[in-house]
Amino acid sequence: MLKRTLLAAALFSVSAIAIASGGHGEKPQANPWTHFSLDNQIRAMPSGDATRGQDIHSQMMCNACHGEKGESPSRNYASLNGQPEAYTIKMMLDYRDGRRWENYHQAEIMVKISQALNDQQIADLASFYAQHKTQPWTYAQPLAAAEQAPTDKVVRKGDFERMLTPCASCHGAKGEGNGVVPALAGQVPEYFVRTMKAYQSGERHNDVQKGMSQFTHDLSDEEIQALAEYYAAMDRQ
Amino acid sequence: MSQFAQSLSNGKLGRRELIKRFGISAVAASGLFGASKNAYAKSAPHVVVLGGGVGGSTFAKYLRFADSDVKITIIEQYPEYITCLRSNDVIVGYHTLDELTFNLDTVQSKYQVNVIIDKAIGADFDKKTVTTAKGQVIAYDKLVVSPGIDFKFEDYEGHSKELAETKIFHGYKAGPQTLALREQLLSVPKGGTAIIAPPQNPFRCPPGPYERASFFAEYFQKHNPTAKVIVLDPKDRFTKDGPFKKAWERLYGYQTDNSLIEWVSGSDGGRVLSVDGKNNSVETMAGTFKADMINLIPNQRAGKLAQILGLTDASGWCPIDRFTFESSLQKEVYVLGDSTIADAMPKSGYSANSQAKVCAQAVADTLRDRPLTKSVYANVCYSLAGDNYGVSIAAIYEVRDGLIQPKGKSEGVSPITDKPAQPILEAVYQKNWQREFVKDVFS
Amino acid sequence: MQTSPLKTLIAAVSLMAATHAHAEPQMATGQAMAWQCAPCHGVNGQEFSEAMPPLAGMPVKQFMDAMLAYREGTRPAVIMDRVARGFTDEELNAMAQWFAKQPIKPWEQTTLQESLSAQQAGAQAAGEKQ
Repeated sequence: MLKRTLLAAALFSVSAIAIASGGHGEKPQANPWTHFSLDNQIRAMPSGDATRGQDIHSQMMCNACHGEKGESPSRNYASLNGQPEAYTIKMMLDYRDGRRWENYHQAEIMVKISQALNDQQIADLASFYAQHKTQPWTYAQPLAAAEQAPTDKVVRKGDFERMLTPCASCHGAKGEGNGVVPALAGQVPEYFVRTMKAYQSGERHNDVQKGMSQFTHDLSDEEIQALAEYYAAMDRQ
Repeated sequence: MSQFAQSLSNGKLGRRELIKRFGISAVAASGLFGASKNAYAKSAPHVVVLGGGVGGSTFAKYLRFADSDVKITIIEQYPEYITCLRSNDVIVGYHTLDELTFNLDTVQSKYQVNVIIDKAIGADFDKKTVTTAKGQVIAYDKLVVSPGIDFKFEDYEGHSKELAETKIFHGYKAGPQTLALREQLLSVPKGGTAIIAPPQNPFRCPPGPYERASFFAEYFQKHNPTAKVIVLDPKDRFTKDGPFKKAWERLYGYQTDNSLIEWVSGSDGGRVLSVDGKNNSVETMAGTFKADMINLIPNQRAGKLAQILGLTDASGWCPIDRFTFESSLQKEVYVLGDSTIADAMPKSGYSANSQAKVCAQAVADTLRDRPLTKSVYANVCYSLAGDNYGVSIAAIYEVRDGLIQPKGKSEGVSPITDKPAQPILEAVYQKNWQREFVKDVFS
Repeated sequence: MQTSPLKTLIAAVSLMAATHAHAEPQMATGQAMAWQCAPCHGVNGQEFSEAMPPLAGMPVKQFMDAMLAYREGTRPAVIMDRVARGFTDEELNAMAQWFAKQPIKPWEQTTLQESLSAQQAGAQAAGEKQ
C-alpha cells in the first residue's frame, strides 16, 4: 500500500510539471525518426519492470480503455498485450513528443497521458504489456471463406506485382511483431483499419522513413478490412 | 443570448471560422428554406421558438427529428451567438471569442427551420400570437421560450447595470464582458488581488465561478506569482467543492501561507453587501476588501422575456411541468433551460440541451395526439481546475414523486483518488465535450 | 348536438389514456435516452474523431458488455460508471438496439432523410412503434 501511495505521489509530481508547461494543445516539435536516432533512443531507455508496469497501468487508468492486461474491451481502442517492448516505448515517445498527433482530438488522451510519464514509467509499462501474449480479439469474427485465401497470400507471400512485401516478413509468421514492429495478432479491427487509412492519407507519419506507409497505398479498402479481420482472429498458440 | 453579441457581430466575428468548423454548406445554404417552406402542408402546426441559444436551437433541431412535417420558426435577436461555455478560457487566453461564436445557419438549412432575426417583445396567449420589435405578429400553435437569465443588481448596495458594464464586470454572458475581464486580469499589478464574488443559489453554471478562480490562480502562477485570488462567497458549499479544493491544494497551495486562492465562505462573512466602484472595493460581513479587479457575479432570476411574458412565479423563476417543460402558468407555452425550476438539474448548457430534447418529443407527441413517453434527462458538467486538470459532476434524471431527481445511482462528482490519470482524462473529456456539445446544438 | 354513446366512450378512453400517459409510462424510449448521449458522443453517436468513442453502429453485445461492466464497476472509468448506474438492463438494451442502427459515418456527412430513416429503424429494433 505504501508503495502504491509513493507511486501515486511520484506520478502526481510528474503530472504537475506537465500541467504547468502545457497550453491548450501546443504541439511539441520533434524531428522525424531515422533508423539511427530511433535505435539510440530505444537503447538509452532504462530497463522496464513488469510489476511496476502493472501498477502504472492501473494508476494511469490505462485499464479503462485497454483492458486488464492490454486486451482491448472496445472496438475503439488498440490492444496492447503482446506488443514488443520497443514498440510500446516508441509509441509513447511519439505521442509525448508530437510525432503521433494524427487526428489530434482522438489522440489527445494518449498525448496527455504520455506527457505525464517519465522514461522509467514508460519502460515499465512496455515491459508489462510484453509479458502478456496476444490473444484473438474478444469480438473477432471468422473471415469469410472467399477472403481467406487471398488475404493469407498477402500476409505470407505478399504481391510481387504491386511490390507488396509479405506482412509476415516484418510482423512475424504468427503476427507477433518484433522490436519496433508491432504485433498484429488479436488487434482490434476498427483500430487496424483506422491506422492503415491514416498511413494512407499521410495523417500518420511516425514510421521510420515510410517503412509502413509505403505498403498501404496499393491496398484496397476491402483488402484492408479483410486483413483487419484476419489478424483480429489470429491465434498465436 | 449575449446582449453584446450584436455589437461584436458588426466587427470581427466572422464567417471564416464558421466555414472552417462546419463546412461551406452550413454558411451558404440558407436559401434552402425557401424551397422546403412551400412543402409544408397548409395544416401543418406551427411551433415558434423564442431564443436561438442552447435551449432554443437544440429544441428546433430535435423537434425536426421527432416530426418531419411540423413548421418551426426561431425568433432570435442576434445573428450570432457566443457560448458561455468555455468563456472562462477566453479570459485567460486558452480560447478566442471567435472560437465560441456560432449561428443558426445549419439549423435553418439542414433542419428546415425558419429563422427570424428580430426581438420578441410580447405575446397574446389568447390569440396565440407573438409580437416582435420590428412589428411582426406571428401566430403559433405551440410557443417555446428559452430566455436565459437576468441579474439582480439591486441585491448589492451601490451596484447597477451601468457599473456592471463599465467597471465591475460579471462575465456571465459571454462577449465584451469576457474581454473586459481579460483586460482587467492582465492589468493586475505584481502582487495584486483579484476578487471573484459568486452569487447565491440558484444560478447559471454552478461551477463557473470556481473554475474561473482556478484559471485566475493558474494564470497568476505563470505570470504573476505573488498575486492572489480571493473568492467571496455567500455560500458554505458549492458544486464539486471536494474535488475543486483538492485540486487547489495540489496545484495552487490552497490552505498554505502561499496559496494563490483564498475562499471565504458565507459563514466566514463572504457575502458581498455593497460595492464601491470608485475605490474598487466591496463590503462584506467580514469587512471591506479592496482589490485590483472585482468580478461580482450577481444573484439571478429568469431572463427578461420570461418576466415580460408572465412566466415567472414569486421565486423569480419559471415553474414547469416536469414531464414536458410546459409552463405551469400558461398552457401551450413551454420554457427551457436556465430560467426554469428544474429541481435537481443544475442550470447548465447540458441541462438546457437535455430538456430541449425531451420537450421536443413531448411537443411532437402532443401535436399528433400520441401518448407521451417517459422523460429521461441527463447532465454532465466538466470544469477545469487547471488547463490539464478536470473535475466533473454527472447524473441521469427522471421524474419521481413529482420532482426531477437523479435516476438510479447515477449522481456523483469526480472521485478524489490517488490516480493521477483521473483529472488529466477529465480535462481531455472536457474539451471533447465542448466541441461535441456545440455541434449537437448548432449543427 | 347529439353525442353517440360510442363517441363518448372513445373520448373517455382517450382521456384516460392521456392521463395515464402523463402519469408515467414505464420506460423511456431507446431513442429518447440515446439522444441524451449526443453532447459527448456526437449527434446520434456519430462522432468518429474524438477522444470519446462513437456509438453509432456499435454491435449490441459490445454496447451491453461495456455498459454492464461500467455499471457493475468491473471496468474502470472516468465518468461512464456514474452514467451507467442510471439505467436498467432493459433501458440499456433499448439504447443498444437503437445505436446499432445508426450509420457509421460522421454526422456532418449524413443527410436529414438518411438519419430519420436510421432513427426509425433504431426505434423499431428497440421494439417501439414509430
